[in-house]
Amino acid sequence: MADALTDAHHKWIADTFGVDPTSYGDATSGPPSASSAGSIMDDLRYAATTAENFLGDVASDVKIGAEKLEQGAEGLIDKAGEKIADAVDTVKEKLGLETPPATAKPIGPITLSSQTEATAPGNRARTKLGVGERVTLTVNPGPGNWHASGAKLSAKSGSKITLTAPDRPGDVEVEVDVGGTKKTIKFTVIAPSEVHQVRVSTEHYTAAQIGIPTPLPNAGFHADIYLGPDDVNFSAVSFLEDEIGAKASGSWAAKNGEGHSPNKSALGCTNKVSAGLGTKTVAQDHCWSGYVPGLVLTDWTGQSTLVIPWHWSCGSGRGLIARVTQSVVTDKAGTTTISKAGASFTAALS
Amino acid sequence: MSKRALALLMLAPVLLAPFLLALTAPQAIAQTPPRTETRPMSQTIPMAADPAVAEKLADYDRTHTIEALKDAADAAALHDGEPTADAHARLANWIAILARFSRDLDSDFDPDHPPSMTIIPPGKFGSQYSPGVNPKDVKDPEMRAAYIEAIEKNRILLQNFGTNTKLHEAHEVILEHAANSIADAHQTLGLTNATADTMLATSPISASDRERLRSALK
Repeated sequence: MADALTDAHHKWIADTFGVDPTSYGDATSGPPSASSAGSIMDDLRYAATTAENFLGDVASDVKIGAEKLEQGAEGLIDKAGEKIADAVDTVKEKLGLETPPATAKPIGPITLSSQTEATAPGNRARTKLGVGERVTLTVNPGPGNWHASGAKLSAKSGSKITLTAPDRPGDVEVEVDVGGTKKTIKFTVIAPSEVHQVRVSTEHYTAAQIGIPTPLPNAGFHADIYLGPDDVNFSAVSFLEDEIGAKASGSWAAKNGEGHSPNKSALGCTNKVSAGLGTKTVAQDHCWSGYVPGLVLTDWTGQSTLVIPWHWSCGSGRGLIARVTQSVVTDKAGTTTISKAGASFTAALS
Repeated sequence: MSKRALALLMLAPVLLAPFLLALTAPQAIAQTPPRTETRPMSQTIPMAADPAVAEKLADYDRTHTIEALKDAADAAALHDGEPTADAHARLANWIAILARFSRDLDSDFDPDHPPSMTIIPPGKFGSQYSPGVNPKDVKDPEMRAAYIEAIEKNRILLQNFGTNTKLHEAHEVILEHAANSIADAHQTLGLTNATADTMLATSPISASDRERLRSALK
């Protein structure tokens, strides 16, 4: 049993939380709620210690690399924030500020079902989610009181609520309490780790089309972009390519160091998912070799390569998806192949 | 007072700082910056019956964030399956939500033709460069200036395409929720076809949405 509270404790609680603890009953002998006000102090201290230990544990897991360090720190803050928010909720409940509504004791068993908001992938009862993905949770019979660790809920009580997966990969557990009968469901949340492209059109220009006297190697395509894996939906994710310089040699040597300076704003994803590819994004990629004006060679052998880091973001979460290679390879005869993330096109010199 | 209690009291400011922050500004963590753009609002756009839904819709009307519309739908579906809800109010809520789509969806939007995330410099010889070439590598100053301008236009094109995509997708999702919720109101709360028909007939929602809700009652 915690120590009895004095007037100084009462004043401190009143100043801190803006409430009079004595109005919730005799704190020294226990308020009307299940816990004593003394245990509030224990809860606060425990929460603070837990948060402190948690910070230490997570800090030791921070991996090398500036991005991972940054993300580790931001994730740490988010998770510490969640711990604190949970503790605040606990304190509010102890003080009677936020008592969950009483729910009727169910007759018979209760069922807890989940259905992803996105209709793709087809299994909407799946418990593997993309970061930021939304899921409808239904308890029957309801209503119930809900609690989630590591995710946002649209309401704390009700029969049908929406869970929003966290901005970063991890595990989520949701519990619903219907009149003392509890059910839990667990989710695994992942971030995109693959980039795939599917060619939708091709490009090649003859000398006449360009308006030059002799042909130059060139090839290109437009492609739809997908972020994988394909077993979740990444509609809440945005992505961005990094600025990077080309490494070029041979007939493409003039392109060496040429900057690939992509769109500055992150682009989003649709809610469409294709098997073997992933979630389709809202933009296409235009992969095009360009050409080197004025070049006349008998051996066109050459290569230009961009190794482009692709990053995802979702709310405050972000990270590296993959390093995607975009390459242009030309053989002696001038036949050119351009490829990126599984899509490619080859055009002969003309 | 025991030493333990005294020590706790002395440590209180340190222990409580994060809690105080969370208690005094619980919304600050989750909020996203509202968009500054506003759109004209029809005088006939209906209000939701449920204050929680109305609050989210007011938020959407002010910010035009898709999340606010989804939050409104979450609030409208919260009591699905419960026998004590008000069927008339539930239908009014969904009509108010779907009316926003009727007002804001761009009927000319073509989701099958997304823009490219990068472009080549404009002009006859702009195609010598790869899409997304850094403007500083474009040697001709006129072409470079035109390219910078075109990049900004493409950025806006991409942004609008993304917004329209999200709004269309949210419409599909929310319409599914609405149909399920209205079907539940029919089965659990006794919402009659006649009542629903009367409300839907005068509602400012699209004909296809109206039909979808009607079919949910069958």
